[in-house]
Amino acid sequence: MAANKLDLSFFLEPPELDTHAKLTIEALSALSMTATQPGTYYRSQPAPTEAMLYGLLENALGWHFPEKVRSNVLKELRSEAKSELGRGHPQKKEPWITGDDDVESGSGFTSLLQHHLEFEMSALPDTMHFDDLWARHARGSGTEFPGGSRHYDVRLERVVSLERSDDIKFGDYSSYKIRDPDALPDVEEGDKVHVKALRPQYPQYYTSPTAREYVIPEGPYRYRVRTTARLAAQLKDALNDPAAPLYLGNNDGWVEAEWEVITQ
Amino acid sequence: MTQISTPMDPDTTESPIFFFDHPYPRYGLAAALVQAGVGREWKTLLDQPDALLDAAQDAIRGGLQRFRVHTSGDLDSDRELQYRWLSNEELETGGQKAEDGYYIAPHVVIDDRNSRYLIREARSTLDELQNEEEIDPQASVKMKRSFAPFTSKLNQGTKTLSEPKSTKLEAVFSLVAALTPLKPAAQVDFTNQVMIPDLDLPSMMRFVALFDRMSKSEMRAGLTLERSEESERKRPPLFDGNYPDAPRGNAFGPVGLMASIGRWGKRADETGWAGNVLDDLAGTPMYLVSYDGGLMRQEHIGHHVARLAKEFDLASIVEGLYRVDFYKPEDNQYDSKNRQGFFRTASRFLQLYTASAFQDFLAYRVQYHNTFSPILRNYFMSEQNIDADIVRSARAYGAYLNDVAYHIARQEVEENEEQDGGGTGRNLYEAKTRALAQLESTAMSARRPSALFAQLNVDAGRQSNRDVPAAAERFLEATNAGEIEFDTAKDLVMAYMRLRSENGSENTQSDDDDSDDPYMEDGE
Repeated sequence: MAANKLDLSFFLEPPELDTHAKLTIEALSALSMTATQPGTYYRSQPAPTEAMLYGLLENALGWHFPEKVRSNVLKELRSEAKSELGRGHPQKKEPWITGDDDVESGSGFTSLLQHHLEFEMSALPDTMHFDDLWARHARGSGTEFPGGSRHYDVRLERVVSLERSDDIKFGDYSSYKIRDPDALPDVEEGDKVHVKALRPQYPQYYTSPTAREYVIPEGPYRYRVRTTARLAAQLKDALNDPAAPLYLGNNDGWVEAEWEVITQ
Repeated sequence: MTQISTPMDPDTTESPIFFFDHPYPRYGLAAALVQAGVGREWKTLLDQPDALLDAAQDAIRGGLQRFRVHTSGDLDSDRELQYRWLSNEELETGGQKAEDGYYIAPHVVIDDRNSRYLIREARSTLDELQNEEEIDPQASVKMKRSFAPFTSKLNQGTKTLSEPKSTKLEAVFSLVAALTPLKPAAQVDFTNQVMIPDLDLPSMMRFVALFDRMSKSEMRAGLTLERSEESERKRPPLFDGNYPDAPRGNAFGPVGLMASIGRWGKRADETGWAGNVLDDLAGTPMYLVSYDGGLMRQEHIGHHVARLAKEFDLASIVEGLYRVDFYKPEDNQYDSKNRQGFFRTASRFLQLYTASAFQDFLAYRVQYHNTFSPILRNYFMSEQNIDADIVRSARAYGAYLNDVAYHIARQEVEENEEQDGGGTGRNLYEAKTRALAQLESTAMSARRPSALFAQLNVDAGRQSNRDVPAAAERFLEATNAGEIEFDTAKDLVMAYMRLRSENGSENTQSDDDDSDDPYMEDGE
C-alpha cells in the first residue's frame, strides 16, 4: 500500500450492511490464540475470536494505532459523522455514533470496523492441539533475571560459573551481603551475592520459557460477513496486498486470508 | 475433516453457548449452575448477572466448606485415620499444617504455601457479593494467580510486570472453578492437579452433573484411611483421586477418568448419560490444571477412548497395566525410571492409538496382564485393519511362545536345583523373562516373513519340545502370503507373546501389592 494517508471514510457512512462477502483464512503455521488469562499457561482458542478477526482485517488495512491515538481517531470520526448527518438526525442515537456499545477486547483493542462489518456465519475446521514452550520476553525490577538471561557482561563469566556449580548463591535476601558490583571479581566459594551487584551487567530483558497451547487447524476457517459496499471494496484491495503480515493469535501464527464478495 | 456451520448470532438456538472464552471460568459457571440446581430455564439466567453472582456466592461458600480435611488421630501410630471436612468457620489462613493432620483437599487449585491467599480472596469476594449494592459484572479486575492459575504477571506495554485483567464475572467464576469440589482431581507428587474439559456450557453442565453423582460416594468413603503396619501413608484415599475407580498413580489422567465414567455408567445403569458425556469429552482437549505451572498442560483424547470406555471395562484394563511384569525384576519397583516411562507411553498409546505410539509402547519389555488382551485385539482390528481370524490366530501363536518360554524356564530351574553351585542362579521369573527376551531378539532380527517363523519355531521347538498349534496356522499363512505387513506381523508376535495367560501358573508380581502407592513412604 503506497498511500501515506489512511482512508477511514467508510466510517462516515451509516452502517447499512447490505453487501455479503466470504472470508477464508488458511493457517500457514500453528496458531496460538489466547483471548484471556495469559501468563503461566497460554491456552489457545480453537478458532479466532471476533476481536482477533477484526484485528486481522485492520492489520491488512494498515490501521495500527496505539491506544490513545485509536480513541482519538474514533472520537474525531464520530464527530465528523455527526456533522454530516446534520441536526436532530435520528441516526445520532445509533451505537455507531454514540459509542455506547463499543466492544473492547481483553487486551483493550477497540476495532474501528465493528459497526460496519458483522460476522454472520462460520465454518470451523477440526483442530489438533499441542503444547510447546514459548520464549516470553519479560522486563522487570525483580530478581529472576540471572536465571532467564543468556547474555551478560563477559567479566561476569567466573562468577556465573561459580553459581552454576553451586559454589556461590544469588538471591535477594537481606543476609546476602555482597551488593557492590566492584566486589564481584573477588568473590569466593561459599559467598552469597545479592542480585543488586549483578544488575548492571545484565540486559534489561530476560526470557521466561512459558508453556503455550498451539492448534493446527485441519482446514481453513470460513466466515460469511455482512458489510457496506464501500468497506467490502476497500477490504478486497487490502487483503490482496496487505499492509502487514497477517496473523491470528500471537504473531508467529501467520495466515493467508482471501476475500470474495458474494452476489446475493 | 468435518466442518460445523455455526451462526455467530448468539440468539439462534443452534449456536453453541460458551459464555466465557476460557474454559476455566466456564467450568466455574457450570459448577455453580449445577450446584444451584437450575432447571430447564437456565439459559435465561445468562442474561441476569445478579442471578449468576448469587449462584457464585453459594458455590464459593460451599467451596470453603470443602477446602481442608483434618484428622485428630495420631499420624504416627493409629492404623485407622478418620478425616473430616473443616467448616468455613474452622478454616484458618495460618497454622493448619500437614504435620498436625491438616491437608488441603486435592481439588483445590493451590499449594500449602499460598493457600492463605486463596482463602482471603474467597472471603473478600464473598463479602463483596453479599454486601455490595451494585456490582458491575464487566468491571475490570486484576487476575491473581491464587484464583487464576493460568495467569501470571506480565509486561503489558509497561516497564514493570503487572497482572493481566479481565471482567469481574470472569474473576468470580475463576475463583469458583478453583474451589469447587465438582471436578476430577488427584495429587501428583503431593501437588494438587485437576482436570478441566473444554466443552460448551451445556455439555460442561452435563459433565459436572454426572461427576457430582459419580463422586458422591468417593467423597465420603475417601476420608477414611486404613493402613497396614509398615505403611507410613498419612493422606486418605481421596488424594488418589476424588472419583471412584481412579487409576492408582497419575500417569493415566484423562484416559483414567473416561474409564471410570464408563464403568460408573454401567454400574449405575446410566449408560445413556455416561455415553453422551464420553462422546463429548473425546475429541476435545482436557486441561490438566495446577498451581504448579510445570504440571499444566492439555491432553487430547481420541474418539476411540470413548468407544473403548463404553465397549470394554477400560478401568480394569488400566488397572491391569499397573500389574505388568518387567523382564528386569528391578524395574518392578515403584521408583524405577523405566516403569514411569512405561506408564507414560502406555497412557500415550491409549490416548492416541497410533502406530508410532504403539511402537513406543512396545519398546518396553514387559509381560502384559491378560486384561490387556481386548485392547490388543481392538487396536489391531480397528486401527491396523487386520481381520479377526488373523488376530485370533496371532494370539494363539503368541500364547504358544509365552508357554514355550515358561517351559524353558521350568527346565532351567529344575536343572539349577540339581546342580551343586545352583547353576544359573535364576528363579522361575527371571528364567522365563530371559527366555522371552531371547525369543524376542530372534523375532526382531528376522528380515523376511519366512525367516521370522523358521527361526522362532526352530528355537521354540528345540528348547521346549512343543509344536506350533494348529490355531496359529492362519497367522503364519497370512504373514507368509503378504496379507499383512511384515512389520505388523512382528508387532503382533511381540505383543501377543508378552500376554500372560489366564492361569498365570508362573510366579509373577503379586496382584495386591502396594508397590505403586506413592504414599507408602509418606514423609509429609
